This record gives sequence, structure tokens and C-alpha cells, in this order.
Amino acid sequence: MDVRILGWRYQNIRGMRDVTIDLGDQPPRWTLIQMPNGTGKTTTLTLMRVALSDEELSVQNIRSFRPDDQTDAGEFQLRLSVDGERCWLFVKFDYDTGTLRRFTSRAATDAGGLEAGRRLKGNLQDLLTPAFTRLFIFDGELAKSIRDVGKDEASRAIHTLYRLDRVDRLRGAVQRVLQSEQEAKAKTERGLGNLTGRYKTAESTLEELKQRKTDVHNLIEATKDVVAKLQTQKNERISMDGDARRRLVDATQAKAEVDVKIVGLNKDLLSISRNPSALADRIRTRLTALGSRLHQLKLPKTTSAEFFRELALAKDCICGRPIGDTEREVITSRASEYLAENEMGVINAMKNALRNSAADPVQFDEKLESLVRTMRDRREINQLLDKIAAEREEAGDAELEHLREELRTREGDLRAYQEEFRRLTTSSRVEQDQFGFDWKQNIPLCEAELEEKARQYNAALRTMRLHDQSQFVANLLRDIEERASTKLRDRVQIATNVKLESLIPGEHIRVARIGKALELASDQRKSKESVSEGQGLAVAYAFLASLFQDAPYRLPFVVDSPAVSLDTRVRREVADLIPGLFEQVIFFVISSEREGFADSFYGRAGARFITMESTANGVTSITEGIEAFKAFHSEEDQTLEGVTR
Amino acid sequence: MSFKLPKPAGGFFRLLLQNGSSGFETMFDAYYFCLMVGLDARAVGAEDEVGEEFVRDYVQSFQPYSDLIAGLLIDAELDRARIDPSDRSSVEKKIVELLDPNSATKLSAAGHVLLNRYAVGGFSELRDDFASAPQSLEDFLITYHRRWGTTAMS
Repeated sequence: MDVRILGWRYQNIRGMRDVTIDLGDQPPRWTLIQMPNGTGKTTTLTLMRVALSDEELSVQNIRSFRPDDQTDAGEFQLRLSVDGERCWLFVKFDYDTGTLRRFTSRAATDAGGLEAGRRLKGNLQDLLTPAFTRLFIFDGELAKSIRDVGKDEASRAIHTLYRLDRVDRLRGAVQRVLQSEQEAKAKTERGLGNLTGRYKTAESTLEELKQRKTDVHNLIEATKDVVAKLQTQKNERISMDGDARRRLVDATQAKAEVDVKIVGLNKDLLSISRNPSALADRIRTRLTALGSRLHQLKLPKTTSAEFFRELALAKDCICGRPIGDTEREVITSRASEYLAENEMGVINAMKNALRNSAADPVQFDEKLESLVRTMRDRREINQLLDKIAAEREEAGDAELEHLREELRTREGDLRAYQEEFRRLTTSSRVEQDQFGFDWKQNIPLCEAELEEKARQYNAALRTMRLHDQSQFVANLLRDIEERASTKLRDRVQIATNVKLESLIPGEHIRVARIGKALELASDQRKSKESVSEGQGLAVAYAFLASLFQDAPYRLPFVVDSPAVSLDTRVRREVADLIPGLFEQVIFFVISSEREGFADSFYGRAGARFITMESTANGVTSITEGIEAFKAFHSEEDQTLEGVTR
Repeated sequence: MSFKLPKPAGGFFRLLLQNGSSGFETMFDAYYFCLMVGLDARAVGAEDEVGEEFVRDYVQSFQPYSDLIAGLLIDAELDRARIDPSDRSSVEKKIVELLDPNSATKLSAAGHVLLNRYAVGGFSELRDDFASAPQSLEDFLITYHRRWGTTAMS
């Protein structure tokens, strides 16, 4: 991405009532602007930074730009070219409130509409943080802070310029996923063991239940055979006596008949009982009484709500009188007091059923008495059967006694097995609920339990996997970031030291390490914490030059008083170094920097010279050209010359 | 809207529900016998004693009697609410509250809730009539009908 400064304009800024610097659509590579001290160099750099980044200014700072008490507002405009597209950044100051507002114009012409806020193209919007902007809108302060461990400027600059912050941001996003999973993980780690245990318990329980089902099924079949055999043996035993055999056959046949009769009576009684009016006189009486009551009360009413709703729409009432708005409203509102037709239908159906219930035939008692009698018969037959067997036992048939006892036991076993089989296999929810079956006793419930545990286990496992994967990605990103950062720092360090060899050849100051700050060393001393201002500036230039040389951004370099603190030899080195590093450099210089620095640019193609001066009436004059630049003598120069003489 | 058996009734009628041709034909039989006792005794049971739904609508064998069952519910509720039998509007209001012409059972949601609670109340009464859970349908029917003052005696 290529960014150039095409010009700027001050309006109602202290010392700059209405001044425009126009560098043209193809700005020169080097612009040297000569301004006396105190005429706005620092202010201009501050304004450029404020326009390019989101740097905030204090109320006091903003008010310091106010040219006079009568002026309420001021403005600074910075004209840029970003990848060939022009854009204006506006900063409007309200001196009364001490606030500023930013606007952007990115239209095809400079007269395009203003958008609120700073709106730079693509990544530039995020790249140009206040800290980063200081790297290329450069003042002497950075030269100091770049060596200040506490300020973290050096490594942060590398981080930002080479977009390692993106890796950082990605890692932050992964970190957020991690954090959100953290709690789940803690639960999962604890819970996973439990869930595995529960899943396995359910699994083994299901296996056991299924095995038990097979066993019980076999037991039922086997017991049925045993019971049948015992029954046969018992009857054969009794039948060994001729008289007993005859009685046994008769009684058994009678019992079978009685059993059939009882089943029939049960069915009939059950069927009759389902009619409430046939179940009991008391119920029938209640039902008919309710029917009569409804009849007496003339319920349901014969007139429906629908009738009144229709009436309300008619022109005249059924009595012939006209229906006005008032009547219509009353009829409509009172219609809701009447039942709807379908409600009347239900009540009428019920009323008819109630009234007809009185006519239901009374058969219940008769059937019940028949059942009681038949049951008595069955009891007698059973007693007879017992008696026949008992007689045989009394006659000394111990084998029969044993068979009967065995039969009772086996029949009890069979019932128990059949009940167990039902408990194991029923899938009726109501039955499970009513009989209090749980998953440890019932196969369908156990299967459901196993499925649920498997679902919980898999969900927990997914959480664990997600956690592990996000941790892996986070570690990978950290590794990438660290390795990239180390390599970049090494590269910038080497490049910086190469430049320092020629900038400060005598003492051979070099960068020992780029940690949070630039850590310096020299041949004479192991650590070089204290360097002269000029050496510090040289280090900063060497660092910045190395920093930007392979960066994915081409940015303009704006520097205030680049050589004022450098001795003449270093000035020439810096003057040789800086211009080659940037596609566009704007130097704000004072006249004393001409010697050894500015004069290096005289005669270079692509250099432009501007001289700015505030005149006595407060108007700023701008003079173009090398001659005016060379000839300019500020009051300071004159003072200095006076002192020298 | 659904019919729900009183929670402990399933265990009590276990043998009758499991015996196929010699027991209840459907679970509705068990429900009905409880319900009739509850409506007769005006016994509304506790909500938390109401069990799971066993059927949504009347089973076929009870469909002809749905109007009479609704009538018995109205009768019990008029009595329980001490509504003056000659107060036409209150009687009508109660009927409308308990019935819903758009419901398959003709009962409103409130009517269904009450019906299930009457079954719970009836089960509590009915259980007291039995020394132990009924072993056969004939035993049950005979004991059950004693409660209604029938002359039959075993």
C-alpha cells in the first residue's frame, strides 16, 4: 500500500490564518520546508498525526491552536493519495468547547461529500494507530522513547508494521473460544470420568437385562412344561382309583364350564358397567335429575349469540322498530351473554342423553347375582377337587401329596417368571410409570438410558476435543508470532547496526537487542544506556530506516528538525541515509540545519524547497524555490550571528 | 387434554391389567371405575397424584357414554360449588366452563383436569373397600358393586 501526502491546509490555526501547502498530485520525493522555531513546525506534525490517526488531544491542546479570542473554530485538512486515490482528512476544531471532529472526503474530486469520522482505505484504518503514526510523523520525542524500556515502542513498532497484530488478534479470537470452553472443560474433565462410568454401567446393565430376558423366557417355557407334566402326573395318580378318576373327570369338566361362564359374566358386567346410568340407581337418579333441571331452567337457551349478532346487522328489529346505532351497539354487546350454537348443541346432546338414561334397562343386578352364584359353584367344584385329592392322600398316596405340593410351587414360579418377563420387556410408558419400573429393571428404559448417556458422553467428548484443538491453534499462533517477531527483530537489528557503523563510526554504538526497547551497546562499554542526543537520533533513524525498508507499506516520512542536534559529519550521513529510505520525505528544518544537512539536497532532482515565514501583520508568507530557501535568515540566525560576532 | 390414571392405581390393578381376557379390557376401565366413585363421593384428589396420560380421547367402548360422564362431572361440580339449582345463569356458566364443543371429548381443558382429579379422589375411596389388591376381575366387580348398594353378596 502506497501513501503520499499531497498537501495540507490550515484555517484559523494559531500562526496560520489561512495557509495551503500544495505539493501537487505527484509530490516531490523530498520537500524541505524551512520555518523559524516557534512558527508551527511542532503544531503541523501534531495536526498531521491527529488527522492520520485517532490520536486524542486535550481541551488545553486544542485551545492552544486558537489564533485569537474572536475565532471560535479552526480546521486542518490533510490531502493524501492512497494507492493513487485521493482523499482529504479534515479535523475541525471547536475552540469554545475544546473538542474536535474528524471528517473524510474520498470522492473522485476534492469537492466530494464529507463523511463523518476518519475513513481510510482498507487496512490503513487499523494500521494508523497513534503510536504507529509517530514512527513516520516523527519528532525528537520518539528518538528517546524508542530506547525507553518501559514504553515498549521498538517491538511494538515491528509488531504493528509487519502486521503481527493480526496473528495476535486471531489468537485473541481463539482465546475467547478457549475461555468460553474453559468452564465447560473443567466440568467436562470432571464429568467425563463420571459419564464414562455411567455409560458403562448402563451398557453392562442392558447386557445383563437382555441375558435375563433370555433366561426368564427359557425358564417360563421350561416351567410350563414342568407344570403340565405335574398336572398330568397328579391326574394320573388320582385316576389310579376308578371312582376317584370318574369324580375327577366330572369335576374337572364342571370347573371348565364354570370358568367359561365366569369369563362371560365378567365381560357382560364390564360392558354394562361402562354405562354410568346402568352402574347404579344412585347414578341414574342423578343423571335424570340433572336432565330435568336443565329442562326446567330452559337450558340451553333457545336463542343463540349468533341470532343477536345477525339481528344487530338488520335494519329493523323483529318487532318492527328500526335499529339505530345505539340499539345495534347494545344488541352486539349483550349477544356475548348467550351461548354459541355449537355450545348449545353440546348441551342439548348431553341433556337428551341424561333424560334418555332413565330408560336404560336394569340388568346389572341380575348379572351380578348370576356371577355370585357361579363363583359359589366354582368354589364348590374346587373344594370337590381338593377333597378327591385329599382322600387319595389320606388313603396313603404320599406321591400325590408331593405332586400337588410341587405343582403349587411350580405354578407360583411360573407366575413370578411371567411377571418378571413383563417387567423386563414392557415398553408401555404408563405401565412403566404405574408399576414403578426403572432402567435397571426394564430393557426399553435401559436402552433409553444408554442412549442418553452416550449423547452426554459424546457431547462432553466434543467439548474436550474442541478445547484441545483450540489450545493447539492458540499455541501454534503464539509460536508463529514469536518466531516471526524474533526473525524480524533480528533482521531489523542487523540492518540497524549496518547503518550505525557508518553513522557513528567512532564509538561503534550498536543495537545489542531489540526487546521491548532498543538496547544499545558499544565497544567501549557493555551497555550503552546513556548516549548523546545526536547519537540517539542517529540510532532512531537507523532503526526506522531498517524497520520500513521491507515493510508492506510505503508511507511518507515527515520529520521535524532532523539534524539540529547532530554534528556536521553525522548530518551528512543522515542526509545520505534518510532520503533513500522513503518514497516521500518532508523535512521541517530551521535555517541552522541548512549546513551539512539541507545543503546535501541542493541540486538533487526531486527536491523541493519551501520557505514559510510569519510577517509582521500576522500573515504567513510562502516562498518557493532554492534561492529564497538559501537566503532566508530568521531572527534566531540574526541573533546567533550577533552573538558570534 | 388427556385421560390420566391416578398414580398408585396401576400397581393396585396390576393383575387385572395384565390378565388379558380375564381382566380389564383397557386401562380406561380402571380409570372409569375410579372416576365413578370420585364423582359420586364428590372427592377431588390432589393434582400431584395424577399420573401419566394413558389415552387422549375416549376409547371406543366408552364413547357412547361421553355425554353422561360429562353430565356427572357437571352434577358433581354444581354440587361442590354449591350452586343454587334454580340459578339459571350460574348453572349455565358452570356448564360452559366445563364443556368445549371443539374438543373431541366435549370437555374443556379445565373439565379434563377436574375429571382426572375426581379419578384420583375416587381411587382413594375405592382402595379402602379392598383388603388387598384384587386378584381377579370377578372379585373386583363383586366388591366394587357392594359400594353402590346392590343386593348381591358373595
